[in-house]
Amino acid sequence: MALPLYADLSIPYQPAELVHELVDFACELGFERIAINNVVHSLQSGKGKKKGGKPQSDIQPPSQILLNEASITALKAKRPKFHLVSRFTTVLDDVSNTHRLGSPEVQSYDIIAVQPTDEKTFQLACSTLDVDIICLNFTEQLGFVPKRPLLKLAIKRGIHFEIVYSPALKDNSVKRNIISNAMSLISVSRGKGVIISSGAEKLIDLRSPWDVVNLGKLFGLNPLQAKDSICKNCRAVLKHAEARKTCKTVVSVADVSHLKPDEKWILQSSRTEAMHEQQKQHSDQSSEEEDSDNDDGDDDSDESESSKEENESYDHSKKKKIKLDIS
Amino acid sequence: MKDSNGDDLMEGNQTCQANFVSQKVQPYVYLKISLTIEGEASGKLDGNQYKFLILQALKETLGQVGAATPVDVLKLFSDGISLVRIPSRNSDKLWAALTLYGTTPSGKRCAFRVIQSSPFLMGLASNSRDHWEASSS
Repeated sequence: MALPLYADLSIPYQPAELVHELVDFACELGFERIAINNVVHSLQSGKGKKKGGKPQSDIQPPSQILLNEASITALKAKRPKFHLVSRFTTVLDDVSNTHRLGSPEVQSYDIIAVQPTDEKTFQLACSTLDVDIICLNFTEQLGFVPKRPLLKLAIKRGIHFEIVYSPALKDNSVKRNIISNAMSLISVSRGKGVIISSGAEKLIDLRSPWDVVNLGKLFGLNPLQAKDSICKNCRAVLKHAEARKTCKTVVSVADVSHLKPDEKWILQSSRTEAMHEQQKQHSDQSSEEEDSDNDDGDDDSDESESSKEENESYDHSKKKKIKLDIS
Repeated sequence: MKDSNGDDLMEGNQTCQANFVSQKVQPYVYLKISLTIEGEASGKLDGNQYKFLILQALKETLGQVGAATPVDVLKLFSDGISLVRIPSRNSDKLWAALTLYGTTPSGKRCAFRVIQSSPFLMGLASNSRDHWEASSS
């Protein structure tokens, strides 16, 4: 059994050297999935700029936020499974301007998170918004009580709730608030759909994965849920984020040129499959295949199915490939 | 204590493995902790100062009652890494108190990071993660 991959989905965006230092250190501690977080406090600011005649590009593209290729390969040499993603977080203080979450600048980020500030925005985020993470400001009193039906709805939609621990290391009253808010959230959600991340701006704010798991236990998670909060649930967030960009996520269509080197085998196997199919058709013209809509099989059967589907739907052109993803 | 494959032990091979699964609750938890203090070499601390910082951490989060639990620093290595023994009864809370400690009494930022934990002192002798990485690469 492979060892679990620990994830820290909130390293705030800073100048590149600082971020590199942080990510490097997080790697050393044992985190392998890391998200760099761009926090935009208001989505509205674009409007004012429009009047002045400037284009409304106040949101940086994710390529500016992530580390450059060289440093990523250096980190990958250290930890082969290292994975860096970009994350966009915004504060929701008004129900009206949520439509900008759907804009291409925001959607180009891997993970989208919102921070509701009152009951209305919280309800909106839980029930309708297409986001991956809901992070609440735990450093102060929340001002509203997260209700169980809403949390249940959000969890059902695959949205996770985030607890950020690094502010707790700075101030005692903040520590109290974070612990009490986190405990109330966890008691309401019964420990499901919770992720814990650092939000560390300095090296000294990062803690090792085992520390974070134990912190989860203090917040009221059981040991398994505590571990899930930095392993399984974070993976679920990433998968949910991936699924957001496709339609219904059992099958997604991608261009062949975008294939990663380790996914080339799909193309290879579908080519050989196609050749077999052609030979078969030459020998027996009348045979017709029925295709089944069985989507819940295991990996192997799905892959062979995908290649069949590809042959039929794209007529051996092989310009596209079908990538399977079981969310 | 139960030896799951005791028979294999008797065959006299040079390399034999035995798995021990203990069902009991062990009285202590052993932690391997590294202490980092910003802008200061934590290796310079002596045992008393180290213990003082640990007690401060417990006092800050758990109060006097928390600080009353017996915590032993068994070994202090030169680079701020130490082996600590805490009672397993409320080890979660003690550990979390160490995690959440962020500032020394002199106002410097510091961090206790737990590198390994085990109910047996022997468990800290090697790290299974390192072993995995060495064997997989």
